Amino acid sequence: MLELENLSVSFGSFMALRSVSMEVRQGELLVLLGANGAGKTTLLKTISGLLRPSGGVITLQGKKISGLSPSQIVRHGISQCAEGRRLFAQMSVYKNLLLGAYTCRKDKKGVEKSLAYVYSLYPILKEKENDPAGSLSGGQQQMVAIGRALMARPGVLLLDEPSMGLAPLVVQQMFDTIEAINREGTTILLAEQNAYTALKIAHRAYVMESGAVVMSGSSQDIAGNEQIRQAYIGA
Amino acid sequence: MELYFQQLLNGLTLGSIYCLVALGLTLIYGIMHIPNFAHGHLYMVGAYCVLFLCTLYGLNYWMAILISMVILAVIGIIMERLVFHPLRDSPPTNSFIAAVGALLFLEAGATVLWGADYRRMPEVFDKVVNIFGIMATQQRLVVIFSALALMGALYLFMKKTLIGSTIEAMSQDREGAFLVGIDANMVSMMTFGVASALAAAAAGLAGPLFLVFPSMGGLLIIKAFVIIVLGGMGSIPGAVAGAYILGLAESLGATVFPAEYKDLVAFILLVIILSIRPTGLFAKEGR
Amino acid sequence: MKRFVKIMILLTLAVALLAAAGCGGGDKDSGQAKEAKVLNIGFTGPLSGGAAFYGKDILTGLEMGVEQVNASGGVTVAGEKYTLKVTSLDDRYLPNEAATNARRLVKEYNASIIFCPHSGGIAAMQEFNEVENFLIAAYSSEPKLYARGNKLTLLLPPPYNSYIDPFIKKTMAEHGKKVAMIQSNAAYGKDWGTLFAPAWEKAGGTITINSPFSYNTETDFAPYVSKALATKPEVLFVGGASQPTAMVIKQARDQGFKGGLIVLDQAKFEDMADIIGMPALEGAIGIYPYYMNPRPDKAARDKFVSDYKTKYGKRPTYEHVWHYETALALGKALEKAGTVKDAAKIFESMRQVLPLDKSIAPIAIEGVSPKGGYTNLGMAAYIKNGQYGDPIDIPRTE
Repeated sequence: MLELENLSVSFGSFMALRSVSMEVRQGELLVLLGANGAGKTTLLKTISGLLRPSGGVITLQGKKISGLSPSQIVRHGISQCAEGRRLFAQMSVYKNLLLGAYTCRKDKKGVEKSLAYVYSLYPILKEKENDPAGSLSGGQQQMVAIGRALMARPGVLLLDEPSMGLAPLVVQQMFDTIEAINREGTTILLAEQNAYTALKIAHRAYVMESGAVVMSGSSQDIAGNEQIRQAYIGA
Repeated sequence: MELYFQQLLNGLTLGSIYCLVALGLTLIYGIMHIPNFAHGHLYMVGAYCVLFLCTLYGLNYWMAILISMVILAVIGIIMERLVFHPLRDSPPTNSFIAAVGALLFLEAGATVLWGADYRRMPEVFDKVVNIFGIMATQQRLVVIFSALALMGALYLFMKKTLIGSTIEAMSQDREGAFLVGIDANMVSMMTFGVASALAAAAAGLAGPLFLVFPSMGGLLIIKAFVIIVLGGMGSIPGAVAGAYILGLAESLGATVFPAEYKDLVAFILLVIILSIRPTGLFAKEGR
Repeated sequence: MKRFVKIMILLTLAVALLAAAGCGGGDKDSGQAKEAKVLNIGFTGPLSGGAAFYGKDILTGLEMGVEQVNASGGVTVAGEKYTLKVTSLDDRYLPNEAATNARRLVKEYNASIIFCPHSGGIAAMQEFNEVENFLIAAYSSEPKLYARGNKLTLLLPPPYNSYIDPFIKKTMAEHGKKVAMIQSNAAYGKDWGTLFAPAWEKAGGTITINSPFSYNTETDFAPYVSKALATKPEVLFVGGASQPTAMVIKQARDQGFKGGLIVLDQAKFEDMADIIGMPALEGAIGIYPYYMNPRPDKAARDKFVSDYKTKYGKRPTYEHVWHYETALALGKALEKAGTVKDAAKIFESMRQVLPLDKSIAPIAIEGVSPKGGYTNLGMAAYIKNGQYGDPIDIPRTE
C-alpha cells in the first residue's frame, strides 16, 4: 500500500536516512524499532511531507506522493500522530479533534461519525471536551493526539512514539487501543522504542540503526532474534 | 478629577486604534514569525483609501471603510505572495529586510502618487457631546465602540469558525497544523488579509481625528511593536491588553509629566513589565 | 538562481529608467543655453528626509521667480547676456551640510548668491561668507541672525520677535491674561516660547502651563490639549506647521475651549481654515493670509496667486512670494551692479533697485534696512466673527 524506495534524507552533510526501502501492506500493523536517533522520526516526517527527501520515492497505492505538501498528503489519506503530540494546547479538546478533520470539513456527517468513533475509543475525552488540551494529563493528551489523527479518516496512520513519557499501566491501555484501531481496518505504522510491548501487537517489524534498515521480518522472528533481544528488549 | 476622566477617554480612543493595528501585527507574527515593519504603512494606505472613497467618490463613511478593508485585504495578500512567500525558507533576516523594503516602497509610492502634504478626512460624527463634564466629539466614541465591535467580530471568526481557528492553530503549533492538513499558504494569505483589513479599519476610524500623510504609519508601527512585545509576541489577548495599557499610559502620562517625558512613561512601563515577565504579559508557554 | 536572474533584470531596468530620466533633464538645460551664459543661483535646503517637503516647497517660489526673469529676456551684466539657473543641493536640514554645499556652490558653480531656508544653515554659512564673498539670501525669522551683523546676509521675512508685543497686546485686551503654552517643541517653537513667556508675564499676564509637545511625532494631540485646558486658560499659545496646528486647535474646540489663540508665524491661517474652517479659528491672532494682503498692488498679487496655483496646484504663501520677488529684484540688481562676482556690490545694487515696479511686484518689497532685512512691515490678522478683520501692522524689530 505505502512503499518507500531508496529513500534518503540529509541535513547538510549529515545523512539522516540512507537509502531506506520499506513496504507497508494494507491492513497491517507495522512496527518500526530503533534507538533514539536511528531515524524513525525523520522517516515519519518525510512520509508526512514535513521533510523533503534528497533521494528516493514514496508511493501510496502506486501514486507518487513524495514532494507533495503536508496538507496534500493528509488529503491522500495519511495522517500522523507526531512525537511530542503537537496539540493546540490552548484550544479545547473538542476544537483539537475538529481541526483534525480539517481536510474533510465539508462532510459534516462524516465528521460527526469520526468524532463519535473517537469518543467511543476514549470516553474520557468526551467528558473533558471543553478543557484546554494543554491542561490534560500526559496519557489523555496522547489520546487527543491519536484521536485528532483519526479524525482525518486516514487509510494509513503514522504513530510516532505514542508511549513516550507515559506510565506503564497507561502504555498498556494505549497499545490496546492501537490494536483495536488496526483491527477496525486502519493500516498503522508505529515507531517505537518500547520493542517488547510493540512487538506483541505488531504483525511485522523493521529495525533501524543510524538511518538505515538493518533487519526486517515478522514480529515473532524479530522478537526471537538474539541480537534484538539484547539491544532492545533487554532480556 | 475631571481631567483624569477626560484623559481616560483620550487614552481609550488611542488604545482602540493601537489595538486594531497591533492585533494585525501580532497575528502575522504568530503564524509567520515575521515582524512586519510595513504594517503601519498598510494602515497609511488604508487611510488614503478611505479618504479618496469619501472625497472623490462621495461614498458613505461606513461603506468607504468597508471597501477599504477589502482593498487592503487584497493588498495584504499580494504583499504576502510577492514579498514574504518567496522568502519562507530563507533566514529570518531576509524577511526583516524585505519588510523594511516594503515599508520604504509604500511610503515613497504614496508620496509620489498623492504628495507629501497633510490631508484631512471629512468629519461625519463631528457633534460635541458632553458626558458629565467630559467633552468629546462623537467620532471618539465611534472609534471606541467600533473597535470593540471589530474585536468581537475577530473573536467570533477565530473561535467559532473552523477556517478562523486555523490561524490560531498555526500560531499555537505550526507542525501540528501541518499534520492535520492545514494549508500553510492559505493561512498565511488569510492572516495577511485579515491583518491588513484591520489596519484599514483602524485608519478609517482614526482618519477624521488625525491627519493623513505618507509617513503617518511610521509613528504608529513603533507603538504597535512596543504593544506586542508588552503583551507577548504573537498573543492576541496580549495585543489587546497592551494596546489599552499603552494608550492609557500615554494619555495619563502626558497629564502627570512634561511632554518630553511622555514616551519615557511608556518605555519605563515596558521595562517594568518585561523585567517581571520577560516574555510579555500573555506569553505562550513553552516557546 | 532563477529568482536572482529576475531580480537582476528588474534592477537593470530600474537603473536604465533612472538614467533615461536623468538624460531628459539634462537635454532641456543645454537647449536653453545656446547663446546666453548660465549664471547659477545657489540653494541649499532639506530635499530629502522628513523635512524634504518644506525644502522642495520653498524651492518652487524661487524657481518661479528665476523662470520669470529668464522669460523676460534673462539678465545682461556688463554687456554679457546670462540665463539664470537655480542649482539646488540637499543639506538634510543640517548646518554642516549647508556649509559644505555653500562651498561647493561657490567653487564648482561660481554662485555668488545662495538661498537657504533654515537658521542653522544660515548661521553656519555666515561663518565664512564674507571671506569667500557670497551673499546669503536667508529665509528665516530667527532674530539672532540680525544680531550677528553679517554684511552679506539678506533677510527675507520679519524676525518673529516683532510679532510678540502686538500679539500680546491685542490678545490680552480681547481675551484675558491667562495663557497656556502648547506650541510645537521643535527648536523654532521653543525659541518663540522663550521670548514669549517673559514678555507675557511682563505685560501682567500669568502662564497657567508651559508644556510644548511634538507636533510631528504624536498620533493624538488630545491628551496634551486636555492637560492644558484643565488649567483653565483664557488664551492658548499654539503653533508649528499649519496642518498639525489646525488639529491642535480643533482638539481644543472639541473639548470646549472658547478663548483666544496666539498662533506663531510658522502656521498659516489660510491653510488652517482649509482644514478646520473659520469658526474654529475665532479669536485667533496670527499672520495675515498672503493671498488677501492689501499692501501690494492687487492686480500683481492676484496674478501671482493664480499663476502659482496653475503651476503648482495650490495657493502660494509668504514663503513662495518672498522668494519669487527676491529673484526678480536680484535680476535687476545684477544688471545694475555690472558684476556677477562681487557679492557686496550686488547687495548694494539690490538696495538701489528696490522697490520694483508695482505692477510686477506681488509682495511689494520696499527696501533693505542697514542690518540687511527687508523694511516691509509685518502684517497680522485677528479673526473675529469669522473674518480676518483689518490687518494689524507689525513693525520689524531688528
